[in-house]
Amino acid sequence: MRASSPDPELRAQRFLRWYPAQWRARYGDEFSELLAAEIAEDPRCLHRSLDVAAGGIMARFADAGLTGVAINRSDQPRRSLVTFGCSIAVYLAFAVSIWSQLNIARRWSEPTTPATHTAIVIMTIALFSCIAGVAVGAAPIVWQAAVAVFHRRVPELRRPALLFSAGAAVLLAGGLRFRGGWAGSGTYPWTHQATVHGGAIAFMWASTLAVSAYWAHPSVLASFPLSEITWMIVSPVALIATVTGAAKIVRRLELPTRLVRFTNCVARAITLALGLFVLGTLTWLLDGGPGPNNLFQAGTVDRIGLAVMTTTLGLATLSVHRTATSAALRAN
Amino acid sequence: MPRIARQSVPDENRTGELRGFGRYAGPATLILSSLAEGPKHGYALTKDIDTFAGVHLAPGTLYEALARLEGQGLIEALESDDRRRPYQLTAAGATALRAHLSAQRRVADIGLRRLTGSWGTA
Repeated sequence: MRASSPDPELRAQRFLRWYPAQWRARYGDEFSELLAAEIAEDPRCLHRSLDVAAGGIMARFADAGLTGVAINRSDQPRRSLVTFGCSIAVYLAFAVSIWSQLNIARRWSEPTTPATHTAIVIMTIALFSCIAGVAVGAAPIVWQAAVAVFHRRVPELRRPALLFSAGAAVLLAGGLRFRGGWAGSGTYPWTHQATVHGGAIAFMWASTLAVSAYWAHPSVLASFPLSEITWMIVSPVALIATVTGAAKIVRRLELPTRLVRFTNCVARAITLALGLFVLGTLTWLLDGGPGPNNLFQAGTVDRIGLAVMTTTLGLATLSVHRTATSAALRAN
Repeated sequence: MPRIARQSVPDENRTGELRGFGRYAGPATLILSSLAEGPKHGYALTKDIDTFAGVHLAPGTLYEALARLEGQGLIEALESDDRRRPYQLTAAGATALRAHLSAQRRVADIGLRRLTGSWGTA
């Protein structure tokens, strides 16, 4: 005997979960009413289910300021800015991990192929241009947020500010604590073999320790010190806390149009640097020259890293474009 | 009855005032044409479009087009005590629909004239 279909209203409510909260608040009632009527007429319809799912995904993209029209149009540039920030945070986690490991390899030996050598130079220039860009773009927003928190102008900023500070503090403390955790990293300056101070390289390596191929090899991972394994689990959580705090601050802070325009100009420059870094990574992966003792050998995790960086670069570029063309910015 | 699915909507409406709607230009034209008669809520819109165009707009596609049209100020929601909120055409929406349909009619007229010239009448 076939079980009877659940109540159409209940099914409509379930379908509504595809859509973001702001969309549900605006269209949820009328949409579920229509959906329940359609479900009552035709209980099983794959086309309708796929259409609702696709509509929900598009609404989430619009909510993130990537496509379509946001429910609150004046809010769109800030949402795009948040998407940009989240995208480059994920990008940088992989970029810093790849770059620091290549530079730690140079502790022992220079790459033998010109392509890998050139790739590392390109990646270094691109990464530090990006970090400088993030500092320049974020500084005025951090200042605005600090003033608002200090003068208690926006009380709802306090929790995200705490979350951001706690996450950043954990990342900083952990990076400093574990930078000597890998044989050969230590805190040596390596000025004769690297363009960047060894301590900085080791710190960046330790901060992104979680981006590792060892997750696929549990037996090897089990031989790591417990503190290191704990850090590999805690550091992504700290990064998520930092990014979530920053995103909530930007969403809740009133940003002047001129500041959003300035930040978006800097963001455009950052995407160019990120593109350059992808080019450098691709050069190294295509060269594949393992170098002495396989020090510069590219692995699966690096290819996954390139895929993630390319995807997040696409999202960052799209959000920069959306901010630049948003009606809210053009109207002012 | 043919259904308008996301992938099968032809992006034919590149002219007129519905630029930027991309593949939603088809559903947007149908919705604006339906609202040209008077305010309607979502369910009434799908039934009316079924009747006059012979296509069924699935709920996801309908509401995505409605959100875009409302965001562009071409339609507006009316107050309602009911959960089903009706929509009506705005003056900007009427102008956009007129321009769009006129452009479509020009294309249709040219196509039919050329068809008649080369292939004769059926």
